[in-house]
Amino acid sequence: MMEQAATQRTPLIEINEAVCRMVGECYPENIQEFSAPVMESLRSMVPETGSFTVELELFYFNSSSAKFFFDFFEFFEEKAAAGLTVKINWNYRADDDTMLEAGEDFSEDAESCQFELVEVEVPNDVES
Amino acid sequence: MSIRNKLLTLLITGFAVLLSIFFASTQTLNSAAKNFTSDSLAQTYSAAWLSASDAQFERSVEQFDPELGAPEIVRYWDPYENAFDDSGEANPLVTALESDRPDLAVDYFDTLFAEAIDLEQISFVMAYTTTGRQVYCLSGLFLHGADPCGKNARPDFFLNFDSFLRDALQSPTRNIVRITDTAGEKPLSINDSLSFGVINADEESVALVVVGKNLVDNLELFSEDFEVRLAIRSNGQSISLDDYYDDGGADSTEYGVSNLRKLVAEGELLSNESSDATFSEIVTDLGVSITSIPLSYQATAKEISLMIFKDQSASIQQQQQTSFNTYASLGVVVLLVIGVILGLTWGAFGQIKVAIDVLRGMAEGDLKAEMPERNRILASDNDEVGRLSGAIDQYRVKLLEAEEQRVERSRRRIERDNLMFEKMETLASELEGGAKELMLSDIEHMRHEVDTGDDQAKERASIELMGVAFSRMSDEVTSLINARTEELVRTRDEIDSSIRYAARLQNALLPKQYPGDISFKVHWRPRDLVGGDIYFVHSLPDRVYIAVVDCTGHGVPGAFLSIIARSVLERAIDEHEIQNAGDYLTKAHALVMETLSQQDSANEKIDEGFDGGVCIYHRKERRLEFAGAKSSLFRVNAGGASEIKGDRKSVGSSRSGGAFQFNTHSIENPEGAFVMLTDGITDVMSAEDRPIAFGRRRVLRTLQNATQTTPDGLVSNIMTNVDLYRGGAPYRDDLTLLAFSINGDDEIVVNEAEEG
Repeated sequence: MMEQAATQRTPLIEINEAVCRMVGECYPENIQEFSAPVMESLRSMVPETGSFTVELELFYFNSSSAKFFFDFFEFFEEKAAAGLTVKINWNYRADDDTMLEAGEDFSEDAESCQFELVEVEVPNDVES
Repeated sequence: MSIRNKLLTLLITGFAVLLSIFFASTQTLNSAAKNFTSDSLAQTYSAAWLSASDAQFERSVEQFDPELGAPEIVRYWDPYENAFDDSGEANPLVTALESDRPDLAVDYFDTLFAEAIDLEQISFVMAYTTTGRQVYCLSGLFLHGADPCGKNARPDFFLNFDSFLRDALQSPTRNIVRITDTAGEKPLSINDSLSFGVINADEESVALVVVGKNLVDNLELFSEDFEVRLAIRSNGQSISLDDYYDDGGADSTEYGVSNLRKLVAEGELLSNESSDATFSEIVTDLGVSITSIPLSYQATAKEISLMIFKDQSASIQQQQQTSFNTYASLGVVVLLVIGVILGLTWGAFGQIKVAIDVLRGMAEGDLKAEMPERNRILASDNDEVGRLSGAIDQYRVKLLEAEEQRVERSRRRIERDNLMFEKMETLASELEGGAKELMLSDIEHMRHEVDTGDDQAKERASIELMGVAFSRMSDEVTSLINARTEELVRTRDEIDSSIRYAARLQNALLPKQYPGDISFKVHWRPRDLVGGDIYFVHSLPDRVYIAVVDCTGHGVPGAFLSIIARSVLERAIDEHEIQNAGDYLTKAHALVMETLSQQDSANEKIDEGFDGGVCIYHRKERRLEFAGAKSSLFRVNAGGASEIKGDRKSVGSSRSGGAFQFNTHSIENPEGAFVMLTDGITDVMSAEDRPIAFGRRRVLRTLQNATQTTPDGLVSNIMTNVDLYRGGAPYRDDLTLLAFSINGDDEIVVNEAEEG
């Protein structure tokens, strides 16, 4: 079980044997320091068989983090190819085309994982 | 007087009082018991004696009673019957007495009494005329005491003969008759007797007859039966059974009773003291009980009583033994209890004395003295002394702990002081001149102080030492810090100026001139002084290259990359060949891959590169080409605003693959304005808890709503909106916003670029 509260620059992270959840922004000062423990936890906790759910709701991530997410999804692709049923829910706010597009980008690479883009409600709609 | 002695005195006094009460109540009980025993003894003797006496009376004297006597004898008293002989009808005895012929009567009396006298059924017979003249007297041969018919005999009824006679004549009367030997040769004779009158035919008394039986026989029987010695007390004198025998056995011992004379005297004394002369007393020193009872029903005991002497030595001894045993065991118990209590209090108070000594010792600082082990009988850890002992032990343990703590504190203080001195000396050794002198004199002074006086004084001195040391050291440290701070500020300033210089360098890499046929407006803003964003404008005679790129990272690393990117964008230009935007970007990609991956000796995956868009404007063909790496080109014209999206690949990313070909988007006769930007614009976040990026859609909307479609107007419009959207939130990234518009076939004029 890994739990890490959100900071200004990193999202909330929860990882256990059934679910991986990330909510928030991601632009850590040092991407390596952020990504290494997350990947480590995934490698030790995500099972070989059965099913696993990835719940993501990101508001912002920088280009370094984008590269981390490529690794992140690649990890699940490999797991899914090896027999694990992986469901990835990419949650985005209706108003957030940046994240929608990012999700679309990532979903294009998803072959073995079941990648879904999920529109969520925006509590405070900020229209300009 | 100590508490111990008070307790003992109290205890002994208490026991004495208890014993006295016990003794008194025992005495009272004993005396009550004795009274009861005496009464019952007196009653027992009395009943036995009187019934024996009555029995003898009936057997002997009473048979001559003219009314109740034996029938064959009663006849002799009948004046109308002659039971004596054949001389006539009349009773010859009565006749003889009537006619005052005592000489004649004697024979008749003899007839009546001689046999009974001989057989000792009765002891004597006397007959008197009514005037008191004796007409007949017959007594036995074996008499005890005075002979009733002797010439010195003096019966007691002579003293009040008239009343005696009157009573007897009235009806037969039983009395005790005492006959004294006036010559004093024989002892008093005491007889149970019946006196009655002889009646003639005229119912007149003609004579008085007294028949008596000496009591001695009866007394002897009683004496034998009850194993007692006897005496009869009468008119202030007493006579014992022994007085009747010549051997005078009064001094001998019989039935365990000796000293009869003394006993008799004692009995007389007691009788005189007693109101009714009926009692039973034990004369302890003689070992005999004296019981006095009335001799007969006919007289009170005061007048004449029978004194019975019974040997009680056995029971007295037993009683004495019993009381001795009782008192002895009581004494032993009392002594034992006192002894035990004495022992206990002695022990307890001994312990208390020891405790006092131990406490006094502790007060004087001797913590070694312990309470001695208590192993007496009855001593326990829970009794008062045990608890006292325990409490003192605990107290001592606490004192020992406190002492240990004190020693430990003092040890630590000395350690601390030494450390202080060491540090101060080190500091002093680094100082010069007056400061060194001051420090050394401080050290010397404080060394003396922390070594003088008691713990408290040392503690105070130690604290003072800390103060002095701290103040000296902080002075030195402050000056040191001041020195260091100056150095740091210098360093920082140096770094700052380096960065500022780097910023100048990066600025120098930005386009300084723009071709005259295109209007530009740029807003370039690294998040820090330098950044990873860069834009590029390169004009060839037939075409113009415009690029806006965002290198990975920001700050100094981003700036480094931007220099590489700038170089790559320049090197990718093929001046001599026709080159479309896609090819150009593809070539830039290849160059980045080449530049960075070749230099990575460890052959690690390098993902450094840039996102961005490039435009090539072919003047002659009036065609604008666009290729994008994760970037879009926005177009604003009369028809509104639109977005031309580039490829979703990054330049330099191994993910893009070495063989990736970027697509070319062509716009013929480009009109209106075009906008290129880095994600510093689209990633501006709203100031919320769950922020949303500004995004390309808002950019597009802003452009659609724009009234001023000149590059200047568009840039300022977008920046205004972005700043509004951002609110107080900081910029997250470097940002570049570039707008341009193509002015047509104008002469190529080189305009001075102005920074946004």
